[in-house]
Amino acid sequence: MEKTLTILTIEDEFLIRVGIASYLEDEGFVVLQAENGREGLEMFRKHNPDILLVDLQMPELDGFGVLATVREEAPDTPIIVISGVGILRQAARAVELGAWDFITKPIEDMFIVKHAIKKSWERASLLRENRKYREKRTRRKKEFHENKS
Amino acid sequence: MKINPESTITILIIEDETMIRRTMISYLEDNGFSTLEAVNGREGLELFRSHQPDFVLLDLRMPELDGFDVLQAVTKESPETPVVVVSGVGTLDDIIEAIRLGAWDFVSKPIHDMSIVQHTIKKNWERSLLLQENRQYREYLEEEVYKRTREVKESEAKFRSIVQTAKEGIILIDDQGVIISWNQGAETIFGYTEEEIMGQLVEMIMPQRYRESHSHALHQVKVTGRTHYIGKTRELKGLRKDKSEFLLELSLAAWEENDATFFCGIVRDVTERKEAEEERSRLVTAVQQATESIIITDKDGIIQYVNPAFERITGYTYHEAVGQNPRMLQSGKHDATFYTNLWNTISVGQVWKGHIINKRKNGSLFEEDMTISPIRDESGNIFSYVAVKYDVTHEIQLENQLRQAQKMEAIGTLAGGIAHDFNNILFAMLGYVEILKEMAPQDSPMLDYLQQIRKAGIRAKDLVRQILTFSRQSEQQRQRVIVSPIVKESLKLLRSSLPTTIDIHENIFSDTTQIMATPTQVQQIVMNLCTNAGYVMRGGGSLTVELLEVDISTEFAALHDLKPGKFLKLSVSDTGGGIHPEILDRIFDPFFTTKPPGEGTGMGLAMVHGIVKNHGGTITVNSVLDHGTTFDVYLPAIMDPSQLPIATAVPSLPKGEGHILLVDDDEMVINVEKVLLEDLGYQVTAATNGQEALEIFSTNPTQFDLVLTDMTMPKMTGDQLARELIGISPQVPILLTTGFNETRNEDQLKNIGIRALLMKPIEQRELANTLHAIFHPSKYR
Repeated sequence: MEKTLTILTIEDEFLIRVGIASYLEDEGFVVLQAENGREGLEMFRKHNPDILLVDLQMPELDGFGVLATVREEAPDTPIIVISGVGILRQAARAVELGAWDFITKPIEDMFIVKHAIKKSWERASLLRENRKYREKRTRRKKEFHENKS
Repeated sequence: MKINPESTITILIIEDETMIRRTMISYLEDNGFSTLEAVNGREGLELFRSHQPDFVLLDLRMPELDGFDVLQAVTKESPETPVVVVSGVGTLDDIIEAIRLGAWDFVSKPIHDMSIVQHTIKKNWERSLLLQENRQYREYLEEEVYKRTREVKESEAKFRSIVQTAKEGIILIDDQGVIISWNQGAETIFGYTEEEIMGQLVEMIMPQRYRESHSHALHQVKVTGRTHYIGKTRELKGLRKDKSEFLLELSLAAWEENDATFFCGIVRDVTERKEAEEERSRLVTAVQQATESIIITDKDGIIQYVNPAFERITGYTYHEAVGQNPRMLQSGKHDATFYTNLWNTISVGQVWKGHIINKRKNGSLFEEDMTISPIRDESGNIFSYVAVKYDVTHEIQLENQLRQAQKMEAIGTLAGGIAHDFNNILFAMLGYVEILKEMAPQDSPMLDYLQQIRKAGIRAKDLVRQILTFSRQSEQQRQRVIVSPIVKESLKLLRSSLPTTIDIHENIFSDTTQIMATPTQVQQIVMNLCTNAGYVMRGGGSLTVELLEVDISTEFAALHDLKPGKFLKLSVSDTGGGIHPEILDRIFDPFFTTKPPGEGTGMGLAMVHGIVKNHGGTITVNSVLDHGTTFDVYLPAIMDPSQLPIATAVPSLPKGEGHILLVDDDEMVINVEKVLLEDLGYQVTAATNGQEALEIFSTNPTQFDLVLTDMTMPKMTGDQLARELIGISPQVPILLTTGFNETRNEDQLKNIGIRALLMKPIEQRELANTLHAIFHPSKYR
C-alpha cells in the first residue's frame, strides 16, 4: 500500500475517536474526524476519503444513515462500522446493508482497526484491479475479433 | 481450489476444545458449509493434506503440534488456502504473530455470536476468490504480453530478412544524414559493407558536386517540415566505393519517431535499364527515320507497326495500317502464286526477297524491293515478320525515261532515214506519173488511174513530212516568240470546234516569257494536245491550259536531259478517262493511236514530241485512270533579253466574206478545207465531184463568189469543171488545188481563167492570203 490512505472516522464518543485517530496517524494514515453522521457526510463529500470508520449509534444522523448515503454515492468506498458488543445484531445488519466489515466496542486493541482497514483496502484494490483487468481483457478480445474479421 | 462460489465450501476445523468444535461444525453445516474436524494439529495437518479443504479454521493453542506449526505448513504447502485463526481474548500477540506467519484473519474466543465466524469466513473466502481472479488476469495478461512480444519479434525478423535480402539498396538515415541502417542490396550496389558505412554521412555515396545541395535539402526538411521529394521516385547519380559514378533510381520515405525525422531511401541501380532504354531509343529512331518503309506484323500477318516512311510512301497513316493485313497494298499485278510462294518462304523461317508492285491509298501503283524476315522467340517459334521495303518507283521511272528516250531516238533515226529515202522514191514515182499523164491520150481511162496513183503518192509525201517533223529533221526558221498570244489564239480556234459540253480554262501566268521557236510549230503543239483532250472528253469535261515560267530542278533536268534554268511550262489537262498505264510509254510512238482506223494517223503526239525535243524541251505525261491526263511541255526560256525581233504570234490571217463552192472527191479534204474556210469567215457549199458542182453552180451562178476545186477528180477534172463554169459565169474566180506542183501547166491553166494554184495539203495561211488577194486585188498590186 504505497498510497497514503485518508480515513474518515465518524464517532460521537470523543475519547474513542481521538484514540483511533491518533493511532492511525501514528500508523501513517491521514485521518479526518467527525462527531456525528451529518458532519461526517459533509466531510465525506468535501474530502472524498479512501475509507470510512463509522459508529453505528450517534445523535443526529446515525451510522445506518451514513452507510445508506455512502453506499449510494460511492459504492466502491470501503465503509467499516463500529458497534457495541452487546448489539452485534446491528453490526450484522449493517454488513447486510453493505458495510464492508465491523469492529466491536470496546476495541480490545487498535491493531484490530488497522487490520480491518488493511483488509478492506485490499479488497477495494482487488475489486478495482480485477474490474480493470476484466475491461482490458474484454477490449483485447474485441480487438482481436475485429482484426480477424 | 474451487472457483465457483456457489459450490459447497469445505472447511477444516482444527480445535482441541470439543465444545467449541462441535458448536462451530453444527453452525457451519446448518449454513451450507461442509466440514472436516481435527482435534489436534497433527491430525489437522494430515486431514489437510489428504482432503485439500477450501478453508481452514485453526485454534492456535493445542496439544501435539500447535496452531503455529500447522499454520506454517499450510501456508507453505498451499498459500492460497485461507487460514483463519481462533484465539482467546488477551492473546493478541498470538494473533499478530499468526498474521505475520500467513494467517488471513482471526476470530476471538469466546465467540459471542457465530455470525461473526460466518462473516469472517465469507469475507476471507471472497478475498480468496478475488485473489484467484486477480492471479488469472495477471497470468492472462502476461501470456498476452508474451504473445505480443513474440509476434513483434517474428514480424521484425521477417522485415529484417526482407530488407536484408532485397536486391534494392535500403538505406536509413537520421535527420543529420547519418546512415543508421544499410542492407545487403546497398552493399552490392555501392560496395561499402555495413561496418564501413554505419555512422557515416550519406553524402559519402553521392558525387562531390551533389553533396552540398543534399545537406542543404536535409536542413530544409528540419526547418520547414516536409520536402517535395518524399514519396517520389527520382533518377540520380550515385558514387560507389571505387569512386565510379552510376545512375540510380531513388524512392524516398520519411517518418517521425520521438520528435526526430528519419528517412528511408530505396535505391536501384538503373545503369543497365538506362542503357537498354537508350539502345531501344536508338533503334526506334533508326526505324522511324529510315528511308525504307518498315512493316512489322504478327505471325498471322496482321500489321503491328509501320514507320513514317511507310506512311509517306503508301499514303496510309499508322492508325489506318495497324490491325490490317498487308494485302491492303495488293495491286493486282501479281497472281496468287506470287503471294503463295512468298508466304511459303517466310512461314518456314526463310527470308523472302523480291520486287513487288503495290498500290497506294489513292490507287496509284508503286514498285518496291522488299525483304521479309521472320522473327523467332526464344523457343524458336516465329511470332512476327518484319518487311523492309525500298521504294524503287523513282528508279524504275528513271529507267523507263531513259528507255523511252532511247527508243524515241532510235525510232526517230530509223524513221528519219526511211523518210528521206521515201521522199526521194516518192519524188521519182510522182514525176513519172506526171510524164505518163502527158503521154496518155486525152480520153484514156488511164488518166483516171494515174490520178489515183498520184493522190496516193501525195498522201505518202504528207506522211513523210510528218515523220520528218517527229524525227526532228525538218529544220525550221526559229525566232523569239512570246507564247501566250499563240495559246490564246489557238484556244479561240478550238472553242468553235470543241463541243460546248467541254469547259475551257485558260490560266496564263506567264505573259512575257520568250522562247526561241517556230510559231507555227508552237501552235501545232497546242492544237494537237487540245484536240486530243477534246477527243477523250467527247462526253463533256474540263480542259485546262496553263502557261507559266518555272525553274526546273537539276534532278528533273538530268532526268530529261535538259539544261537547268528557266523554262516555260505549258500544261494541257483534261478530265477524260485517263491513259492506261500499260500504253503510257507508247503514246509518243509514231503511228500509235487508240482511235478507230481512219480517225487518226497516230502522228499527232509523235510530232508534238518531235517539235518539243527539237526546241530543246521535254514533254511529260501524268495520267490517272478515270480522272484525267495532264501533258506538261517544257520549253527553254530565253535568259537574256535582246534586240532580236519578237514574234508575239503567228501573224493573223486575213479574213474575208463571201460564198465559196468547194469541190473535192475526198470527203476528208472537204471537211478540213471547209473548216479552214469557215474559220476565215467564208460561207461554204461543198460538192464531191465536178458534175454535182456544175449542177449546184448553174442553179444560181450569182450566189457564189469563188470556186475552190481539186484538180484531180474522177470523171470531170478540175480544169474541165473550170472551163464549164467560166462558160456559165466568166467572172467567177476559180482556184485549183493540186497535190503536185506542175509548173508546165500553170500558164495553160491561167489561160482558161484559173486565178491561182494551191498545193495540197493546203495551209490555212496560204489559203487565207490567196483568197484575200483575189477579193482585194488592189492591196496586192
